Amino acid sequence: MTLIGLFALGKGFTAAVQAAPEGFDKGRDLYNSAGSCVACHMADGKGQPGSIPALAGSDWLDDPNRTIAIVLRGLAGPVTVNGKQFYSAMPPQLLFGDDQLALMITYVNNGWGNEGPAVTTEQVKEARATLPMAVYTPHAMLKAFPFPKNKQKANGTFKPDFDDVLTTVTVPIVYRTFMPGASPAAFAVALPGNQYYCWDAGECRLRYSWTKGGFIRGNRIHWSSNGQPVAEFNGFPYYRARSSLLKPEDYQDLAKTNLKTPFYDTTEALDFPIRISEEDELPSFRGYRLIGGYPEFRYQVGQCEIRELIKSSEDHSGIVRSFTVSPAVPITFRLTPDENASITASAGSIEEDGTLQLKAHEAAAFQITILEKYPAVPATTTTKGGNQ
Amino acid sequence: MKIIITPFLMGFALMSATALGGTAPNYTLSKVPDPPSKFQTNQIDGMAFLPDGRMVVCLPSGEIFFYHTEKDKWHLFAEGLHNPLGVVVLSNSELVISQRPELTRVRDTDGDGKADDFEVMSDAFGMSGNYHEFHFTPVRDTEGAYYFALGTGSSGNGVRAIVRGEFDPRGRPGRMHASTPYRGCILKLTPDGKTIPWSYGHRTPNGLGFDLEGNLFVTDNQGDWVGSSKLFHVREGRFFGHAASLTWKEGFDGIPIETAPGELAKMRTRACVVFPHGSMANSPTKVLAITPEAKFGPFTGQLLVGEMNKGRIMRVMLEEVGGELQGACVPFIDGGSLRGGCNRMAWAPDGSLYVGHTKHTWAGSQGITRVEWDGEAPFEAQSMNLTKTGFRFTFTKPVNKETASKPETWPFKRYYYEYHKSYGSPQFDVSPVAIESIEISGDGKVVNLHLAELKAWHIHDVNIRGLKSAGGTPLANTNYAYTLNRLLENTPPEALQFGGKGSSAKKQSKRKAIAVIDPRGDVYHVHEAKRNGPTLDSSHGGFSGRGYADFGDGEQSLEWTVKSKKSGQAELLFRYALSSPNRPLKLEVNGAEISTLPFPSTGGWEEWGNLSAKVSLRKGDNVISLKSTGKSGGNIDHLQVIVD
Repeated sequence: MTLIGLFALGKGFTAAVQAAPEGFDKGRDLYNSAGSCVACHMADGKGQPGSIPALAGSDWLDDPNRTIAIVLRGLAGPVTVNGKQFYSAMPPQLLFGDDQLALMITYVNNGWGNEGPAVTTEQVKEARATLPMAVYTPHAMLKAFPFPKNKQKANGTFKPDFDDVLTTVTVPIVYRTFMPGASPAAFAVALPGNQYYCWDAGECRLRYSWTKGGFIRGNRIHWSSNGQPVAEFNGFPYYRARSSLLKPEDYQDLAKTNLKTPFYDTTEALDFPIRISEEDELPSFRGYRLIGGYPEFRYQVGQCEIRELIKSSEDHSGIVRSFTVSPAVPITFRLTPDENASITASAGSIEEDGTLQLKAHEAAAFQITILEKYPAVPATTTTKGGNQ
Repeated sequence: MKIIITPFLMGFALMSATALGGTAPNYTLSKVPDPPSKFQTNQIDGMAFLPDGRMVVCLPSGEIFFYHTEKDKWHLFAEGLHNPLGVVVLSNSELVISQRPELTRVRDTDGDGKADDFEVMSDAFGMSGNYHEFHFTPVRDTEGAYYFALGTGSSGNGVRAIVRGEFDPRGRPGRMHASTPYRGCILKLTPDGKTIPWSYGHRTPNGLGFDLEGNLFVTDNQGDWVGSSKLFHVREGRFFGHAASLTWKEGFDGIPIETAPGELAKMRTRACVVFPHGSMANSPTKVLAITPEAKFGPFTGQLLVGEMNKGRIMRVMLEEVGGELQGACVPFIDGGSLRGGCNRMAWAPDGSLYVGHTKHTWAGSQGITRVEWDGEAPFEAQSMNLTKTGFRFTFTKPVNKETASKPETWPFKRYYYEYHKSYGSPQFDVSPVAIESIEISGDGKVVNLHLAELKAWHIHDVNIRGLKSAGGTPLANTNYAYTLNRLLENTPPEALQFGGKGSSAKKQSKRKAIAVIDPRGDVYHVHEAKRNGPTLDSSHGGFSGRGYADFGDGEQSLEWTVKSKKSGQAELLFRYALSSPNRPLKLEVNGAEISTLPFPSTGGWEEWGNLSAKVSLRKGDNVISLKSTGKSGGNIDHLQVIVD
């Protein structure tokens, strides 16, 4: 382990760390202990997209005194780290002594390729005694410990939008933006009941839905800037619609914007879930209207116009998708069995592989209910969210 | 980018710096309050006026606001659009919006003042997910057809994993790319709902606009294939220079970026006005005709063009010469308190001009400016016309004849920008043009300049020095650049003015896809297969789909899912090309290894052959895989399945 630890050390690590690599290991063990930094910033230091900033390569780690202040007093509010916006709260680390914090901060400064200084117990002790007793806002933190002159432009903080500080969704929020796991023509919708979903207008289908962790973050940057960023959210979709064109290991790449060629284009997407005839048909998006603020999508598949309106379930544990098919014909709907969701239909019965056959009169108007259910898997420290 | 400036011309450059700038004094600028966006942005990407007199603005956040200019009241009409970059007003409750994924009809159908219906008018174009692929402003003609313009993608980033529309690798390479349908094109939505390509060869066509005669114009920004920013007279089927979009032109089979620039130069339609880079414009935007209702001076029928990089709105005066439009551009509302990023413009009911500013991480600004004319004719050239021997300026006021009759007042130079693949162009063939004689009309308003030479296919550019009106008013704007394509008579053949070669000096066969001759079974192109490792390439010709699978090192495989109507024997034919011999691949059917296929050399990378294998298929789906044996593999074009 020590050998691996040494490889992980940045080139510029201090003599202190060089001389005592066991300190690096101790710091890493403390970092990764239960309830410690790892719970949010993760073992790989990459944080959680949309909610927790990375420590690996972070542009906030230029000043060890600021790092000490954040660890001792906490930091709450909007921060911009490596160009990404976060609106979260880092609590003060009250459970650790000066010597332990010094080891942990030294590890953070030197792990994952970071090249920062070691921090001593004395430094932490002095800071603890002299720093004002309050949780810092980013503004106050950057006033006390500003970025170096040549990095002033990085700013480090931002003025949050209403959806950064959103806690309870009271009216549906409808965005069109770049979403991971969808074509570039995508919707992100937040529903009262704090259910969120991604709907792909490029393929006329629901892609995934999630509930915990909040809606998408920092989307203003995509719209107002040059359009590069793909939206991020902190949450694990409890339902993800099937796609024969994507393997689960592809999901990490679905937010990438730098590919030379795509995995596939929508003219090849012949696995549309709703089948109205023997042939695989490509759907055609027609638009949407707002009913009480909720978008009702409509799209054409062969001779049929299909409408789809999604609302939160009554108990707010999932979503209810209401469909109409006109003219009413028998359909085969291929849903995706998922261990994290329970799926029921208002008519017909869903087979084990997710297939639902509906007679014409059933297809005229029906509902699919998808509720999150907790998988019977013990929680580990690597609950990654976001781009899955 | 080099600007070729000789010491002799240095003086002109210095003069231009002091002569330009300063808002035309007869025009007052005022700042309009910002819309109350929820997203802390007041960038303006679309602007128009409703029949009831309120202004409509579109923000990058997807919000569309109405503004009552007199009451100073804002109203949020619609939200949830994806980078709306232009608007056509149909009524007080119905708009047509250009947004990234669509041309959309946005309507308030229940009369509550908020849009509730968003109908796709057209989404028949591609999106690769590249950030630079904007969908710029729509315009509507008198017959009810719409024209809208699609920007290309930038090599500043790539494409997404899932792209909308057919991906064509021929359009992918280049500084700006067009790998999905109609990027770099202007599209027309006919009144009966069909989307058809209208013109090609655009790079960043930000700002369609009609003149009063119904001619359609669009600008483009300096960049690859665009030596300096331009104004184009858009017509059906024309190619305006940027290569990538040729991918989507029916009948164009090559790889656009590898086509010889000389060939492209012959195909392209030239700009009617070139905006000299830096001195005139860097990033022109919206084209707006000066209507009879506009209260903006004696310039009805001329065009205004916005500019991003500095606070400037230009004026364009066109005339028809040799059957084509060409003419002059000059700064008009310039400097002073005018903010940069002049992206959108519209005439208010009271005849004043509203300007919407934007930036999106490029040079620019935010907010809305109102420009009001004081009713007094400014001292400007009302027109600049080509004559047989030079140019005729018609001024709005009599000129000071003493100054005007001196050749030093008119230091013309002429040059051209090269047409080539690389980004921007320096000025070529720069030369001063001497004035042989000057005639001034009796009333002092018309100045006829006889030049030593008029060079066709060159820009003739002058910074008028020290000219005042007879009454002592300085000339408001002094830099006039006339794009002299054709002469009044005896125009020499077009000087193509291109640079660079095709991408390889050796003449290669055209890399176009060929039709599969007489297939005996179902053909599954390799672009329909799952590629685990092999890339889809198209540098060698003779493939039949979108390209061939190029095997590399390591454990790579191709996987097709083929349907069989019944179970039984079938013959698989793999079409491939292989120069170096013997790169066998393992054949698997439905997970079972059948055999190792010896792929012998076909004799060259553009020599294609078929390898046959007999297998048993089951009814329904069958998974057919070719897996590498550690010796790479040939270029696989398609699989044919011939059922007995």
